Amino acid sequence: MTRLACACDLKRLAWSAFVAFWTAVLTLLAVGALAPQAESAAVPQAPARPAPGPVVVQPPLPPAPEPAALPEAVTAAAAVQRRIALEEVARHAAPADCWMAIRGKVYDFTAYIARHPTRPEVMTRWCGREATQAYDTKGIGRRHSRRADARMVDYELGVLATAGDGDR
Amino acid sequence: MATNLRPGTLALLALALAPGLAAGWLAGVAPWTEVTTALHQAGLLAGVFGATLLLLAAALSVRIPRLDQPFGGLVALWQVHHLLGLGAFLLVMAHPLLLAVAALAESPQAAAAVLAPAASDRPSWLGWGALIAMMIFLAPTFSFFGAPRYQRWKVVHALSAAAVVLAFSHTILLGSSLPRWPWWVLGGLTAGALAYRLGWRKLRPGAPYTVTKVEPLADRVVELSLLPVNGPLMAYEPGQFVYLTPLDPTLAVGRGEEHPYTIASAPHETVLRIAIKSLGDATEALQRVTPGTLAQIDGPYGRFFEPGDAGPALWIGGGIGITPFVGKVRALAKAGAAVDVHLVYCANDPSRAYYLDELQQIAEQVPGLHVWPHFFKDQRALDAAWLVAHCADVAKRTVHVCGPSPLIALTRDLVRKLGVPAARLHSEEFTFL
Repeated sequence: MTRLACACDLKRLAWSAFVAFWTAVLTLLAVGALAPQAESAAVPQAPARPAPGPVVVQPPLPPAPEPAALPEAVTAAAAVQRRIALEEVARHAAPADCWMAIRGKVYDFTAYIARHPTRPEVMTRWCGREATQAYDTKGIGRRHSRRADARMVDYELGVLATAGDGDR
Repeated sequence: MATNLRPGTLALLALALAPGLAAGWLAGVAPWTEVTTALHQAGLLAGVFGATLLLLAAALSVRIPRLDQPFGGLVALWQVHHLLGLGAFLLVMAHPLLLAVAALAESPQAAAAVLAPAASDRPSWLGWGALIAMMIFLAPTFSFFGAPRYQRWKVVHALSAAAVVLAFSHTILLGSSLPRWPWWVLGGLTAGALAYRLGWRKLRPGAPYTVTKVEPLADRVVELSLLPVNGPLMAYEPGQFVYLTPLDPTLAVGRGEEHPYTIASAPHETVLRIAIKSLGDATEALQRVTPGTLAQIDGPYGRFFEPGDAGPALWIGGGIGITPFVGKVRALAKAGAAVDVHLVYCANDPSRAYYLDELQQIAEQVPGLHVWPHFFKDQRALDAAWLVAHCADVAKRTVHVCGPSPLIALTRDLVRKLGVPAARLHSEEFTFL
């Protein structure tokens, strides 16, 4: 057998990657710490900076906002909310017609299932059901990203009617 | 390169691809048209492939006699192990970076949060633990902070077991949408291999042999003869090597320390013979090992000669690197059949050509076997003109070379110029990394 390549080339490659890795990590952490909080189109931000004075440096790693905060804030502006009972949700329990109730909202995910980055069954087994826990934990104790939270808005049908509501 | 794609290596490639392909097929369901989604998926796949390669590298770190054969010998197997480790390292570093860059689309803070997750996010920290452990145990391997010493490298490299466990836990906890079976197969394979190495091998490092004879061949070179304490002598091919652990209580250094040595005897012999040149503390001490003491022998390993290959050959052995050819020539003497072999014995001067007399005697009995001594002191380095003068048809031969690294490099250049394709040049360089 013969040697594949000069061992020194591989060492150089490993070292370069090692240096590049830490450079990138430190850069991303620094940007995360120093960049102003991203403005979400949906969430009204506090108007500009407080009066003249020293630049406010953001804390290094801002705590993630309460998971439910974003969608609620997003929809707070909606004037009229369609109220949907869980029984109604349950009638849309097929992959081809898939509604779910998550954090008090009802969504029609039929068009999204194919775009979800897992095999479809991971999502379709929750069609027609209350799926808050599944959404919040992915079954492994990890919540979905805020990007996912923001995206869900596009699929929202209304709010989940509670037992005493009576109307839809 | 072509000679490295042995059945074992190919099977390994298939194993390496299985979890990633299964995950990739599933990920393929999602659209890759959006850049952020593609980056996110690429980040996940880098993690899947990285963890797979790490597990396979760990499984391959175990040496089991004869199981190195499908890979083309133990040295070839370790090269595969080395490349798997490098691949794992690169992919595992790319994994969090790609995920973080994908999260930049959300916000710089989200990207930073990928790299510095909440303290309570244990699965993510397991991943970081694996990566940091890899950086520590691979730093000496890739000479990050200067050339490593073997013993320190060995201790630090043991941290790889922690990296494997952490990486496996991280993958199982977070890969909720991945099919599980490839991970259990891989994990089982790796756990079995590590259990064998850390458990069984510790209890029984090798078969017990008795040193029956210590014969000085030249200044600082001895040939040890060994016999199994019980049972038959192990079966081996000429040119293979064993790990020898001397247990002689009078040894100044190296007692209980294993080192690889090429077998100098032929398979038909009733004793196992090993030539040892003083190259360091342990080999120096072995020059005076006491006959009658015990040693452990683990092997055989290696695949210097292709079994059954009887085509025209050119063999070049330098110094103690003559040993595999001595074993082979001793086997040819027993077989007695005609061959077409030119053996070049490179030594500094006649006093260092300690096997020359025996080799020349055998050459007189075996038709087609030619032995050519080449003495560096008088003739300087081996060159093409000398080689062609003694072996006119180098280009049609399979070339085997064993000896110091400069001789191997020189031979590689010479025979390539003389028209031998790389696939027909064989060496088993036993270099540390």
